[in-house]
Amino acid sequence: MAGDSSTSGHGTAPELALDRRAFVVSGAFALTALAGAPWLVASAGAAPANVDQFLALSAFLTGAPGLDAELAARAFGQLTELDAGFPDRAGALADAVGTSQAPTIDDFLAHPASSDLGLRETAVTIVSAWYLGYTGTPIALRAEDDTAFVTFTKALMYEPTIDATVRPSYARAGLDYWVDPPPFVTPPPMPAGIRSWGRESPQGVGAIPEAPAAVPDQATAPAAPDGETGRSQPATTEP
Amino acid sequence: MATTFDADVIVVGSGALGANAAYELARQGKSVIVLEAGVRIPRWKIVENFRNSSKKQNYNSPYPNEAWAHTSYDAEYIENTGSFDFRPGMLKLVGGTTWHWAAACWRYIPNDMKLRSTYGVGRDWPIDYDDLEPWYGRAEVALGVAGTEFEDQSGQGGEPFPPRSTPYPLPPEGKTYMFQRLQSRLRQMGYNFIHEPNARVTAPYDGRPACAGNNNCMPVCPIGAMYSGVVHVDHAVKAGAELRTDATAYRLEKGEAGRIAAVHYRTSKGDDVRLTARYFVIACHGLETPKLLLISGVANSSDQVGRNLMDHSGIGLQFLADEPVWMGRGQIQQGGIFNWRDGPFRARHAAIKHAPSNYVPNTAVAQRLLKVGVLGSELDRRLRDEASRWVDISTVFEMLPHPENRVEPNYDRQDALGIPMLKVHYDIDDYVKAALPVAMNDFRNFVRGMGGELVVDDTGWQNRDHLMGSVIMGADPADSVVDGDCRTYDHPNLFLATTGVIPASGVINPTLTGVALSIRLADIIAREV
Amino acid sequence: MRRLAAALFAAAVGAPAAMAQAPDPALVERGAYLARAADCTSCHTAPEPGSPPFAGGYPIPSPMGPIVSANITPSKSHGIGGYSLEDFSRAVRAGVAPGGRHLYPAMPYPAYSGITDEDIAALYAYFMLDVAPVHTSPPETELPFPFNLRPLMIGWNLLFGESGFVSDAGASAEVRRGQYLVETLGHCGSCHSPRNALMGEDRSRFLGGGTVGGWVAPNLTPDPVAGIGGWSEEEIVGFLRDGYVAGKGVAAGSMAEAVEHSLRYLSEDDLRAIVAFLKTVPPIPDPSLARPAYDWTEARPVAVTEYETGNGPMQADLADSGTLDGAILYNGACASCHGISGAGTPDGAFPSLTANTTVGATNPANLVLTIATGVDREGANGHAFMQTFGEELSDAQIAAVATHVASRFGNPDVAVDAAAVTELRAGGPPPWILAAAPWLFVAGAALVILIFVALLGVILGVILGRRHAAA
Repeated sequence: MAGDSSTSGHGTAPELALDRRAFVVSGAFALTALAGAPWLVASAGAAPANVDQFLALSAFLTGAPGLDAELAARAFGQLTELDAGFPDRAGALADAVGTSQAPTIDDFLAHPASSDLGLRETAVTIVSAWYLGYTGTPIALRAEDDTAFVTFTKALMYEPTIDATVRPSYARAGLDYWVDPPPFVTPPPMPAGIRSWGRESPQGVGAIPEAPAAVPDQATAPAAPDGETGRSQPATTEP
Repeated sequence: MATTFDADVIVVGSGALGANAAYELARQGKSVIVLEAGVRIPRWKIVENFRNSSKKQNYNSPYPNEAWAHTSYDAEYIENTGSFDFRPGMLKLVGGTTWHWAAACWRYIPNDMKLRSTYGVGRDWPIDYDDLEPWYGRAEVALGVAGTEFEDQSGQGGEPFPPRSTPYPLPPEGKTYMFQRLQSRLRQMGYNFIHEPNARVTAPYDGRPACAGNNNCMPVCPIGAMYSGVVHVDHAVKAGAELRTDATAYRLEKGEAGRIAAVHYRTSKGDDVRLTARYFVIACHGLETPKLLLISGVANSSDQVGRNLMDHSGIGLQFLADEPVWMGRGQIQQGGIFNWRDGPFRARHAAIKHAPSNYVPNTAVAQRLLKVGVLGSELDRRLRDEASRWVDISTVFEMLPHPENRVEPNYDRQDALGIPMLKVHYDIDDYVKAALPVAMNDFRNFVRGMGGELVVDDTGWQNRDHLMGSVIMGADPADSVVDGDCRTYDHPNLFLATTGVIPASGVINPTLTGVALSIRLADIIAREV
Repeated sequence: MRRLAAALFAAAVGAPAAMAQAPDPALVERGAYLARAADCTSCHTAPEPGSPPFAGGYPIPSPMGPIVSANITPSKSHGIGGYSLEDFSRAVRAGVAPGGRHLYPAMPYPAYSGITDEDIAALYAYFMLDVAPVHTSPPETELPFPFNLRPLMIGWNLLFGESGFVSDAGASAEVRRGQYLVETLGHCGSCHSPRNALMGEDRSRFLGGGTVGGWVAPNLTPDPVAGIGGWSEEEIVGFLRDGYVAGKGVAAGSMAEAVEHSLRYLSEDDLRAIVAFLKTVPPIPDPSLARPAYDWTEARPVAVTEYETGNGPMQADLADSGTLDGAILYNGACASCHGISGAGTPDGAFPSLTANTTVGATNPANLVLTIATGVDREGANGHAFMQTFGEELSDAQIAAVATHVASRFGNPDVAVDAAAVTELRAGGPPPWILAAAPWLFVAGAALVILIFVALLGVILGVILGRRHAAA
């Protein structure tokens, strides 16, 4: 199992003994050194998780290096407040991960143990806290809901796109940088004047057509690109 | 009759409209007191409140929702009795709700202001475009509007329109790559894309830095490139106006000869203060302004105060294009598709505006992926892919004024000051509903034209926070609250500086029109005081 | 050329109208360039946007109070339209207006005393022929007693009224051109040389660094630590032209004005000549400094939880902006542009706070004043702008955020307190002469002082004159 992980490229398991400051960043090293995730085995028996185990479990589930211990304490406390059973659920998930000996989250997701809906839900709850930066469920247009703040500047959902867009409210460049696509996107040919506003800006051609009554369901298969679409290269940075 | 007054003019409300009126009056040498229910908060603090909020999609959340100065998302603040949950995102603090807006600064076009006489529906304004045009220019200078004079803003792809006597004070920002891609492909289906004039400065202007695309116009521009009413609150104070915060007006007192004699306000500590002035300008937005008039029993001989409430009720479309367009680079919106802004169809159905949003979509994308349990490296991969292809169209419809759509004081619910909160009855009208199939046809075209996969096109009706009609302007005192100068028919010294006066909504964001009307009414008052 | 200019000079003395009849476009153009190089407009145009050029009204901050610049447009009634070339020359080079009225040395006539006759003629031609007359007068300068006694300047002028500009005959033409630009036209020493107790430039520490309105005008000598010895020629040229060079520094305050109104218009050759001359100036070290201000290149990390505290449940906390926590203030007020890491943006739109002279300086004055008053500078590469924070942040908060910024991105030994911010925003510590003036003069010693200053001036003038002669 351990050997599979080198292809995942998605983070690593934390090092032994729950030392939260000693995560090993190099996947290859960690995975050859530690077949599976024995740190979770060590906490086995489906006992309720504590903050340290929550941090280790978070690191495993997100694959993100260097999660902040204080933020973990914050999230753990909030999740426990929302659901008194959360430490038990997290403990059970940690137990299942440990038992599976999966070295990475991708390996665990491929393991039959991860098909348990309850475990899956717990995993999503934990990953959501780190990705979205809050716990709880927002209610639109209402001042009060059960959400609580975890982090913004460390929210993981911005990392996969940080070479293209911004963490809102922080700048990435000065005025008008947005006229060009991100450097890794090759723009397809466009009409003359497309960058202009005003007279040079190309206007509509012909009459608005009647569209077919229903849009075909394309949710599972993106439409094939036509000749005039840009292609994105893979991310240059690993989140 | 009193011989001395506390001020020449008292302006109730320190939002963009009140602040511009106050500044113009102070600049012209009048003594001015501005009353504001909320408090002053520096921008950096609001930015930190946003960053430390767990409710980042809730644009009111960085702003205090106090029991004595509620934001509109307080659960008790608005009780709805109609079919629609009318709940605009309004704030109470110095600078008002322009702390979070999209900064769109459209002018109405002449037909918008003559809807009844042109198309036989709705109401006409008692003034026409040419009457307002010079003040549009001044409002654009006040707000620092970036725009192009060389587009047909009626959306028909014709000559520059509407006519202007002055250029925009700032050139438009560059067109985003996303907008270029949408325009390149959808224009082939006949759609006209035009720039949205907006109050995000494109060069240093009036102490404000150029927009750098921090992509946070809502809920707060972190650098002050985007206009907020607080700019003119500061200008007004420097010009000699007095600002009183934590001062919620709760009563306008009638005097002799149909005049308003005084305004009463209450502080959060329960202190009551009475102030007199020669003139009063009520600038508390389109819900609180009629509420104040109604609880004071003033200006309502027409029985139209609070009625004819309109929003640009909207719908939304989200889909994934077949190519990366990378929304989220630059400001949160910058233009629109305006084919349905004007035309003979308006005799039958509402005008329509489609505006591509340009916010960083990661929250929406991540929420959607996590909801269906995507984890592991797949989560990051799909997050990047879908964020790069996400397209979001925000659509609004033109609403007509109906007396039964109304806001009233809610005498069953009082805030901590003992002042009634709001009760709203609002139904989407048939004029809007008749336009829905047209908009849905456009939605299908947009998805098809971008080779897209649909995410959602059935959002239901949404708030757009454009409060109009509730203190309606008209030529006939029998069916109107104010005249073409925004002066109440019942009280010669009472003016209303709110988009609530707007009698025909069109499809464009009304703030610039409100500011133009406010500067205009300030000029009128300055001549009379 | 020299002879022609001299002839013109002679012909034009007392007869400006005569010049108007024979405008020489080349001369006028040259005068315009010289007026740029001498940065006349920075002081002689009012700061309000749209103010007419050269119509005066700029309140030049001085420790004694604002000195309001004069209308130098060719209006006969309100400006210098009635000046002869000789009048003009005397005002510019000796600080004496027609009628014997003494100018305050806010007008850098000690530096301008070195302007050549040809250049004075060109400047005169420009101001008389190419500047639009404006028929208004700015407010009078009203300094407190005794500084309102303009004849005091007679004694002062004996001491400091001339730059003592002496070109090194052995220097290259480029260096001599640079010296003329730096010492005479650019009057760089007005700010960048320290001033002595009587507010004269301290020639012994030429370009060794001074202060102006609370701002530090840095040491421009080639000392590698205290001065600009570590800056490459390209960096200095870029800084003068654009007001910003990555890895070194940002021009703010008066230097931003110098870039905007003067330096960005100078020819490449002239900018290089300035650099060539600056390299020849005697280095003035500062033993208290261990490394150059720009040489703090590593940001020191701050734990995320220091500034990401989360909003509490109390709504009133959302309105409470009183914190003195520098990390929180930095994130709220600064990081939107300069970044969480302080690195700015890669395109240079927002400068990095590391490797930044303003942030790394041992004296935090410029950091404090940049925060308080912002940056507004048009360089050759565009308009740089940072909004002011002096209204949104209290002096104590400015002190807190400046201390945080210095400790995180610059010199960690720097700490600022609120009182220092208050003093800097008021123009910096008062000079000796201002602090001493009240009791000196209240004691009725005005006359004594006048005589003392005059005598001292004569004596020192003789000594200085000898020294120059010896050089």
